[in-house]
Amino acid sequence: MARASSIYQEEVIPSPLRQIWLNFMSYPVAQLGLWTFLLFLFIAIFAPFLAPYPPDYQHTNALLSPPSWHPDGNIAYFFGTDDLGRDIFSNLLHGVRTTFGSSLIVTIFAAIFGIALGVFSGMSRGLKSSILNHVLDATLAIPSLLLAIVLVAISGQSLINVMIAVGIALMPQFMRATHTAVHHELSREYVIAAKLDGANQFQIFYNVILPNILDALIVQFTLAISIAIIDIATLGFLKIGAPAPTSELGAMLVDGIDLIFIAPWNVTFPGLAIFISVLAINLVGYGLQRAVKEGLG
Amino acid sequence: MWFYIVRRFNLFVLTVAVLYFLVFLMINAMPGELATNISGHVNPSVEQHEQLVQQYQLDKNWFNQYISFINQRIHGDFGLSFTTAQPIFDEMLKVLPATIELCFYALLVALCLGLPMGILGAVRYRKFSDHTVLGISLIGYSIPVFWLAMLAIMYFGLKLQWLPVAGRLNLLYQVDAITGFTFIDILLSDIENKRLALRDAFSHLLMPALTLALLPTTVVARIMRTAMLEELNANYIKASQARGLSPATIIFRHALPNAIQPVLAQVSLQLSTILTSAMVIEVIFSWPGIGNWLMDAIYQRDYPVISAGILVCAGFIILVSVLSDIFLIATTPQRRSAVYGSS
Amino acid sequence: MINWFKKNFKMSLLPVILMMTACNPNFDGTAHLTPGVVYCSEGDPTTFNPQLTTSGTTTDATSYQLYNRLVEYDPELGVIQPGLAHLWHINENGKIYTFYLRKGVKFHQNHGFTPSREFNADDVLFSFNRIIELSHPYHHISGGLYPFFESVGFGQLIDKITKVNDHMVTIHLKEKDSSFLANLAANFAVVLSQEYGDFLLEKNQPQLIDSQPIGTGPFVLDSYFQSNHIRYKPNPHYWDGPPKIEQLVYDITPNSTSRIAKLMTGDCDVSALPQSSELDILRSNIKLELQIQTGFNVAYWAFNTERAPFDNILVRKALAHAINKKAIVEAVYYGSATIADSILPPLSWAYNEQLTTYHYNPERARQLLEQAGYGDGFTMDLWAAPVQRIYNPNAIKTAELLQGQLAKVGIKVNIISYGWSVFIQKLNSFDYDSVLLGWTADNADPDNFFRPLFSCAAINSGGNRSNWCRPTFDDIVSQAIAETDQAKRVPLYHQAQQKLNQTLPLIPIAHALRFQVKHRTIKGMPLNPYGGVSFAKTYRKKAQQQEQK
Repeated sequence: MARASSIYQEEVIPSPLRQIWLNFMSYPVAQLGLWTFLLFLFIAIFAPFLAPYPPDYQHTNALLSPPSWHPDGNIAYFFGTDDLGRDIFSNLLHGVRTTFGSSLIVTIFAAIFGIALGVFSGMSRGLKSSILNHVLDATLAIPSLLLAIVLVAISGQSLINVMIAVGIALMPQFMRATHTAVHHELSREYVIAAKLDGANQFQIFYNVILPNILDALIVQFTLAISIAIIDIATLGFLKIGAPAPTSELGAMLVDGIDLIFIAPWNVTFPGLAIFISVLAINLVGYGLQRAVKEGLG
Repeated sequence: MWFYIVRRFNLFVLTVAVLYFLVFLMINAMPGELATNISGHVNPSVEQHEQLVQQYQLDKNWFNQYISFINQRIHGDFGLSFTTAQPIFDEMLKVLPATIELCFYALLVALCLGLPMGILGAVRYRKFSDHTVLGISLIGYSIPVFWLAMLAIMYFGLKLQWLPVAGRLNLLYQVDAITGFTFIDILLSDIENKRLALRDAFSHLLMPALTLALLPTTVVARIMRTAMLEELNANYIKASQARGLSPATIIFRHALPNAIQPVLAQVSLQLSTILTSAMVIEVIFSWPGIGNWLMDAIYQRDYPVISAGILVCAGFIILVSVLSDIFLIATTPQRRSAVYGSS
Repeated sequence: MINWFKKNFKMSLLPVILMMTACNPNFDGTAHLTPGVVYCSEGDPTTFNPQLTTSGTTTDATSYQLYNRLVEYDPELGVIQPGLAHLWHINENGKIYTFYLRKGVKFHQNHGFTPSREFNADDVLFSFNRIIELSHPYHHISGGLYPFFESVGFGQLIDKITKVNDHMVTIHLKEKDSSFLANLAANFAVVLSQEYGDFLLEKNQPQLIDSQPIGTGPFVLDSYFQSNHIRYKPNPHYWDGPPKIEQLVYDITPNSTSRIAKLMTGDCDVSALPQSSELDILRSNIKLELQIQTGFNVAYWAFNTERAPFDNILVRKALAHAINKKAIVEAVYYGSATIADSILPPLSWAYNEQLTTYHYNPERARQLLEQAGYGDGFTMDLWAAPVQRIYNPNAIKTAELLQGQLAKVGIKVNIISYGWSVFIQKLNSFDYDSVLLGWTADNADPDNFFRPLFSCAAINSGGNRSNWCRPTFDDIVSQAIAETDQAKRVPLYHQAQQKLNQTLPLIPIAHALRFQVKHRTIKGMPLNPYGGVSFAKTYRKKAQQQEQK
C-alpha cells in the first residue's frame, strides 16, 4: 500500500471501519465525548488510587463541610463532605467506579448474549423465529426498570443482582437490534449471491452479514451503556440498588435529598457525574451514528 | 386490511400469554409459599388454603397452574395485597388514573414541543437552529430524570416557592375520585371554588409533567427531525419545489403529513421508557400513581402487588403498541407489508 | 439555567414560564379558600384502633382524634385529668377503682352505623374486656395482640370489671399498681362502642371495628387513602365542644424533606418530626413556627441476647465501648438530643446518676472482644427501620455511622431494612442479631420505660426487643409498681437501671428533643412531651386570611 512506490496516482481507500473512525474524529464534539468517556474509564479503573480517602471513612470533625471553593470550604475535602463526614470527592470517584464501571461490564455481557440470541433468531425462520419473536416482544414490553426491580425484589439487594437485572433488561434491546439488522441484511442481493455460491449459514453470517451490521451494533452498544448507567443509578436512587457501604452515584443522590436545604452539593455533584458520563457516551454514540451514515453515503 | 388486524390481534394474544408466563415464573421464584404469593392471602386457614389450591390448581402440574393463573387474572382477580389485605384490582383502579393523567399530559407537552423542534431542525438542516435542537435533545436525553426533578424541586419549589412539590391537589379540596382524573373530578364535584381548585391542580401537575416530558420531547424531536429530513429529500418534494410551491406549503401540506406517521408509531414504542420515568417521577413528587404504589409494594415485599403491577404495565404497553400498529396499517396501506414479525 | 432556556426556545417556553409566574400568588399558604388544617404525618397508621399497637404513628392518627380515654394525662401539670370518667376514686388498699362516667357523650356515626344510645358503662366493659378476656368475641379479631396491655400485665392485673349502673364502673385489681391510672390514660387505652361491636357482629364483619372506627373523639373518620391521606370531619356532638376547624387532613409524607417543602409551599399547615438538620431553615422562615419540647423517649440499640455472640456479656460491653454516641448525637440529631446512659431520661425523678458510662474506647472494645474469644471480629446484622421516629430521626444513618465505627474494631456490619410493617412483622420472630429502635413514653411514670421494654411478658407482646428475660429484674420492677410512695420507688428503679447498665441487653443511645413545626396562623396545638398529637382545640387565626370571593 505504500503510496510512494506506486507509479499510479492512487487514492488510498480506508477500510469501512477506519473510514467511520476518521469521520468520527472529525467532529470536535464527538471527540470531546470520547475523551470524557476515556477519563471516566480511567477513573473507574484507578479510583482507589486516585481517591484521597477511603470512601466510607467518616471524618467526624468535618461534618457537612462545603466544597473547597466555598468560603467555609476546606481544600482537604475538595467537593466537601456529607452528613457523616465522608469525603464527597472520594465517594464520587468510587461511585463512578461502581456505576460507570459496572454498567460497562453489564453492557458487554448483555451485548454478547443479546447479539448471539439476536443472530440466532434473525437467521432462523418459521416457527422457531416466531416463538423467539413473541418472547422478545413480551420481554421488550416489560419496562427495563420494572424487570430490574422484580429481580432485586426476588433475589435480594446486592450490586451483582442489580447488574444481572440491568443486564437481563438490556438483552432484549440487543436482540431486537441484531434481529432487525440481520433480517434486513438477509434479503440483500449480496447475501443471496453468497447463498447461491453455496456458503453455509455460518459463513454467510460471519463473512457477509457481520461486517455489514457491525456499525449498527456499535451504535446500539453505546446506547446501551447510557441506558445501563441511568438504570443502575435509578435503582440506587430508588434505594433498591447497591447496598449501603458501596458508593453508588444514584444512592449518593438520594442520601443527599435529606440535606437539600443545608448541603445542596450532596445532590448536585453525584447528579452532575451521572449526567456528564451519560452525555459523554451519547456524544460518542451520536458521533458514531453520524460517522456511519456519512461513511455509507 | 382485516387480515392484518386479525394477524396483529393473534400476535397480541400470544405476546400477552408469554408475558403471563414470565410473570408466572417470577411468582414461582419469589421467596415464601406459592399459594400465598399468588393469591395474597397471608397465613390462610386450612380450608382457605384448600380453596386456593383448588382455585389455582396448585396440586396439578405447572401447565394447569399457569392456565388457571391466567384465568384468574383475566377475570380481574389479582389476589389481595399483603399490606392492606384489599383486592389488588380495586387498589389498581385507584392509582392507575393518576399515572395515565401524568403520562398523558407529559406526552402532550412532548408532542407540542418536540414536533416543532424536529421540524425546525430538519428545515434548517445543519444550521444554527438545527444544532441547537440537536444539542438540546442530546442534553435532554442524557439528564437523569430524577436529578432533573430534584433540581426543579430545589429551584422552583424550595427557592422560589412558586410551585408545590408533591401531590396532585391540595388535600383541603375534597374531590371524590369519580373518574380518578383530577380535572374531570373537580368539574364533576360539587365543591365551591372550582376555579381555584383547577388552578391548584394545574400548579401541582406542572412540575412533574414538565420534567417527565423532557425525555420524550427530545426523542420526538429527534425522530421527527430524521423523518422530516427523509421526506424533504424525497423526489416528490423536489418536484413540488420545482413547481414553485411556497416552502410553507411544501413543509406543512406535503412533507409533514407523511413524516408524522412514523413518528407517532415510534412514540408508542417510547411508552415503556415514559412509564419507567413516570414511576420515578411519581416517587419524587409523591404523585399517587402506579409507580408510587409499586415502589411501596417493593419496600413492603408485597409480591402479589409487584406481579400485578408488572402484568398491568407491560400489558398496557403491548396493547398500545398493537393499537398504534393497527392505526398505522389502517392509515398507510404501504406499511402493511413491513409489519414486524410478519415474515 | 433559566436564562439559557429562555434564550434557546423563547417562543415555545415563554408561555410556560408565564403560566408559572401566574401561579405565584397562589402559594402564600393562607390563600386557600376551602377551610381546614392539613397535617403532614410521617407514615400510614397500621390500624385505626390504638389498642392494637405501640406505634406512635398509629396513635397520632387515632387516639386523640377519634377516641377518648376514661382519664386523660395532662402533660403540662403532670397530673391525671378527667376524660370520659368525670370522677373516680380508689379504695384504701389501692385495689378497687371506681369510675363515674360522663353523661351525654355521643358516639360517631358513619355511613353504615348510627348510634342509638349514648356512651355508658357497657362500652367501657366492652373495650377492656376485649383486651383481657380470651373468650371475648372481639379478642381475636385483627390478630388478638394488645402489645401495650400485655407488656404492663393488664390481663394478670385486672381481677374483674363490673358495671354498677349505666354510669358507674368499678375495676378490681389483684394487687396494688401505682401506674394503673397512668396506663388508663395512655394513648392505647381508648374506649370503643359496644353497640357498634354488636352491630358488626350481626353483619358478620367484626374486623371493620378496627378499620372503620367509631369513637367518641373530636373527629370522625371520613376517608382513608393508603399512603396518601386520611380525612377527618369534626364531630359536631363532641362533648368537650366541637373542634373549631372545618376538616382535618393527614397528608402522609414519609420523607421529611418533602414535609418541609410542603409546609413551605403551603400544602401543609403543621408537620410532624422535622429533621434536626433543617431546624435552622425553619427558624429563618417567618411564616413558620418551630415548637420544641424535651421528649420522654430513648433511642436504643438492642441485641438479640439469645443468639451467639450476643449472649456473651463481654461482647455486649465491647460493643458499648466501640460506639461513639457523641458522634451519633452530632451527626444524626445535629445536637438536638442528649447522650443516653440509662434507658430513663435524666428528667425523670427515678433517674440514676451513678451509672457506669461506657466511654468510646475502641482499644478497650478490642480487648473485651479478645477476652470473649472474638479477637478476629465477626459479622453481624444490624436492622434499622427506614422510617422517622421521635426518638430517632434517621435510623438508617445511625446504622451507617455504627457500621463505620464498628469496622474499626473488626466487626463487619450488614444493614438490613424493610418497610415498617414488614419490619415489625419480621422483628416479632426474633430473627435478627441487633436492631436500632426506641421508645416514647406515654406518661411520666418511670414504669413506662421498664415493663414494656424488659419484662419477660414483653417478649411475646413485642416490646422486649432484646429477647431478655430475668425474673429477678421483673421482681424489682413489680415491687416498684406495688409501691405508691415515690420515695420508696426511687431506690428500686435505681437498682433496676443499675442491673440494665451492667447486663446491657440493649445500649441506650440518645434522648431526643421533640419538634413540631407549623404555620404561625395555626393556634391551639401544644406539643406533648409524651408523644401524641391532638387537634381538638386547634384553630386557624383568621386575622391574616383574606376573603377572595
